[in-house]
Amino acid sequence: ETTFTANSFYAAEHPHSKYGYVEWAEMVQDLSDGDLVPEVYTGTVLLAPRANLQGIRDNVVQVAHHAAVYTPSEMPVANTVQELGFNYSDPLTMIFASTDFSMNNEAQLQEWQDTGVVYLGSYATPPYILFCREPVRTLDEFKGKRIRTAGSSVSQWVEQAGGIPVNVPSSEMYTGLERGTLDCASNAANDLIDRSLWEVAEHTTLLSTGMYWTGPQWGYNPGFWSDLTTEQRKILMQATAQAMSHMIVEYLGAAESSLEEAKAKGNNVYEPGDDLKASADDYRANSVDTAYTTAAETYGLDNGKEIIDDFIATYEKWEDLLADVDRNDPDALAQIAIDEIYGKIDAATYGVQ
Amino acid sequence: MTQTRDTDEDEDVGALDTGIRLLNKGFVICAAVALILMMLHVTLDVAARATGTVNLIGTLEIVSYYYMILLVMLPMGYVELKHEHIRVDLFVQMMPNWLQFALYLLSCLLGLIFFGMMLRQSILDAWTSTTRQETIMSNFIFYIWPSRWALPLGFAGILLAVLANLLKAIRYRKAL
Amino acid sequence: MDNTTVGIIAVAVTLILIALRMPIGVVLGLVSIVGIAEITNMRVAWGVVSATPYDFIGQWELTAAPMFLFMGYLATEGKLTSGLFSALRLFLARLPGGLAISSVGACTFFAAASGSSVATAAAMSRIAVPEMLKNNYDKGLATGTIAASGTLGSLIPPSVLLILYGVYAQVSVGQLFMAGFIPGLVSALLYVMMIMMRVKANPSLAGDVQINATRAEKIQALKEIWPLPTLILLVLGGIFSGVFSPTEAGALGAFFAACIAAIRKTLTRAALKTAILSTLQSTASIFLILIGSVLFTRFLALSQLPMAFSDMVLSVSESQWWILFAVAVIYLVLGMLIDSIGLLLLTLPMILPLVEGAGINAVWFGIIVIKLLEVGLVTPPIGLNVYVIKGALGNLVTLPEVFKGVTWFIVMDFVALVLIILIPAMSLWLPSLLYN
Ligand code: NA
Ligand code: NA
Repeated sequence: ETTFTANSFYAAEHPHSKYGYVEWAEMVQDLSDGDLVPEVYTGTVLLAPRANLQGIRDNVVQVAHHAAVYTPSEMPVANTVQELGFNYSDPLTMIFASTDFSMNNEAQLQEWQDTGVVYLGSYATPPYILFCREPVRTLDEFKGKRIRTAGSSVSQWVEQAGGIPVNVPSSEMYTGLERGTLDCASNAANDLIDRSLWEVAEHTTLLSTGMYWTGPQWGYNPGFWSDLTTEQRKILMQATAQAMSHMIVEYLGAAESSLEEAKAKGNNVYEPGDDLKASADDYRANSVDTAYTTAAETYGLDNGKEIIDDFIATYEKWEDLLADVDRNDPDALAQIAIDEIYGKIDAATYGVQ
Repeated sequence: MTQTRDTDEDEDVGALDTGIRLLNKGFVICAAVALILMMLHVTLDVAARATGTVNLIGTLEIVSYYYMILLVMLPMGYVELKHEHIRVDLFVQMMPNWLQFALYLLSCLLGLIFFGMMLRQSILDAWTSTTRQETIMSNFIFYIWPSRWALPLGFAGILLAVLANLLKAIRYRKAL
Repeated sequence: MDNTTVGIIAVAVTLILIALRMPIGVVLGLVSIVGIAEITNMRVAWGVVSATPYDFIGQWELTAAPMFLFMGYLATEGKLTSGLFSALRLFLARLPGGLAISSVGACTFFAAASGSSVATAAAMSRIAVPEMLKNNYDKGLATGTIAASGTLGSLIPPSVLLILYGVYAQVSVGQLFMAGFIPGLVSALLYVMMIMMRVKANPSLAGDVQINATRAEKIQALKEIWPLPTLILLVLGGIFSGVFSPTEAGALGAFFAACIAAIRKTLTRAALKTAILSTLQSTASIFLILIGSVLFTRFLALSQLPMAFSDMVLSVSESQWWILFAVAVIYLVLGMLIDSIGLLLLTLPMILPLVEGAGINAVWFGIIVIKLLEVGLVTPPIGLNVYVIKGALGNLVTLPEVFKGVTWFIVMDFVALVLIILIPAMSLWLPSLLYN
């Protein structure tokens, strides 16, 4: 029996923790007939959000969620890819494309190795939309609003469009909106309900300001991973494929139903006005070029263009692969992930030192 | 209200004592500057926002990752020199002097071990952070590696202060 | 040796070393490192040491602590507080324990502005305790009042703990905020009643002041009241109107305190220097313990001791009353050792499913949990609010004096808890008015 520590810094009820760790742990035990026993920690009891990479590397935890945006200087490749966040709005395609890219792109694999993690699967958030105290539908209404943003590409657009990007810890979002030190927060739709933001931000605008997916949902300590048997690694891959599919279906469902719930509670949900939408579209049109530049200037990559192009190609490949599949069927999605990703990876050698 | 104990006003014996005291005083001055700047910077940010004149960028980052780290870490040694780190005196007061002295020596020893370990690890971390030019997630590029060095400085300050107190206790043959 | 045994031994060693006058932060940190190395290996222990202090200190929310301390020190050193308290002394002289009662009131107001118990205790300890001591109040009563009333900071909204619970338990933060209001006020009232009864029984607790003020003296005293209420109004007004956030309020409060002192020409170089040095001294000594206690929480989590303990307690029965009783026992015992946020994160994943299973209202349960966590902030050996006050007052008081002074308040907390549990409407009435 192999017991190991698994950590997700999200609250226990967040899909990344609930399906990605708590239910995943049961899956792992079942699939291995009790041979692999993850002890799951959720929240920040063991590690601060920013410290998960270090925790994996130092074997404080054997597997953990790590968001690459927290460690920009350590993960230039992953953060370069994240610069495309504004371009995409389909998390279902993204979670598989990102996993595929992250387990096959040479530069990305090298980065995981250099930073001391074995990457086994992705997460993907729904698009971040705007939750505001007042209606924000047009550029005019957008002007001068203080908006909580996460990450530089979003904040550049917010500034361009006349808003004021601010950085506030998530624990202060609710009071910030309640008291008016914040006008809007940009987050995934489920936060409207999960963080009770609907109570203090009655106006939601369905303007996608990007989504997040880089860094491992399951990043393993390389030493621990290498000490596992090939059979055990195969079981973990199988569990990853299933948990990942389940997680994304549930996450998207939660986002969808959160919007419905907010509406039922009397909140307003708007489509963005034409000028606001055009502003975002304009920014998006240049964002690939911007990402090329950022890769070189901010992250110091000389192969940034290749990385970005490979990522875009991988995403397009997955758009095709998922074209005819039932998007609400986790088993079918898991099977595609196994056929297209995990089945092509050699469990005897992948990530083994 | 000043809180002094007789041993605070002891004259320094030799260059080591003087050096350690001056070093920690210097650290406290830096921390004091950080404290004042923290107050002014946040106030200015709020004022700028309230009047809508300008929007200051990076207040949260500078305040949390620079002022805060500096003002927490740097005075640690000064506090040790003043014997102000929090302990429970109740039971020990009833013990004979020689036992109090022995326990004080033990507490210095534990302090040396703990702060030694913290010093070692924080130097390694600060070094790694420096070579990687560590940044944090932010709406712009924000380097945090310089402030990583506040930890080794603070831990070194308190390590030396514990050492000075240990030597002083041995000189006086009593707990401080 | 299995992990929980390591945990038990470590807790025992910690208690002994603390009792032997070893610095608390050092003990917590060192025991955690040795314990983690024993459970896993030294590499993991180094990993935890490496991953903890920097990210812990560099938190925006925590910056309120030194700023509120600074505000408090500036207020005392700049003599902003004496006017109000000497007036209160004149006017409340007939009321037993008038200054302590005013302090509970001030804490209650402050709690409505601040999201954290520790920040509330930090701010009020420097404002109220020195004045009470100057009036020959019993040290235990003076410090206990602030340590306990500081815990109102998490019960009366806004509250970081309630937000955290809301996200974890998936219940409305707004409802939780509303629900905490009456239990918070009831706790404050119970404190006031207890103070009055104790001082009536033993008047020397509240000093030996004989006051026979003339009318002219009273009028003169009234003129000197304004500085502190002005400061508090500026801070509260700023937060409620949304000009600044509860975290920013500390810095603004310090700035206002400095301005008021400057206007009154009491901001001398010496006063400023003392305020700065005291703030730094308090902050550093409090944070050394905080670092130790975060390491200790991580160690206890890895040892699985809290989980084993909770499992044991909860395995007995599944009735609602037993679960509530068991939860109370779990939080009170673990609350002695682990800080409130760590304990909340550690136990909720285990306890919430049971609560749902037993059909207990999650909002009501949240208030019970927060109240229990708040008791943990003032129980020995690891009671952060008590450490904050000790840190803020330095050698003016000893730790046992504060812990002893807080005992009576803990008794009142139990009364409050029983009321909260027996009368769910105390928590659920306000939310039902505003939602549904
Ligand atoms: Na509060
Ligand atoms: Na306690």
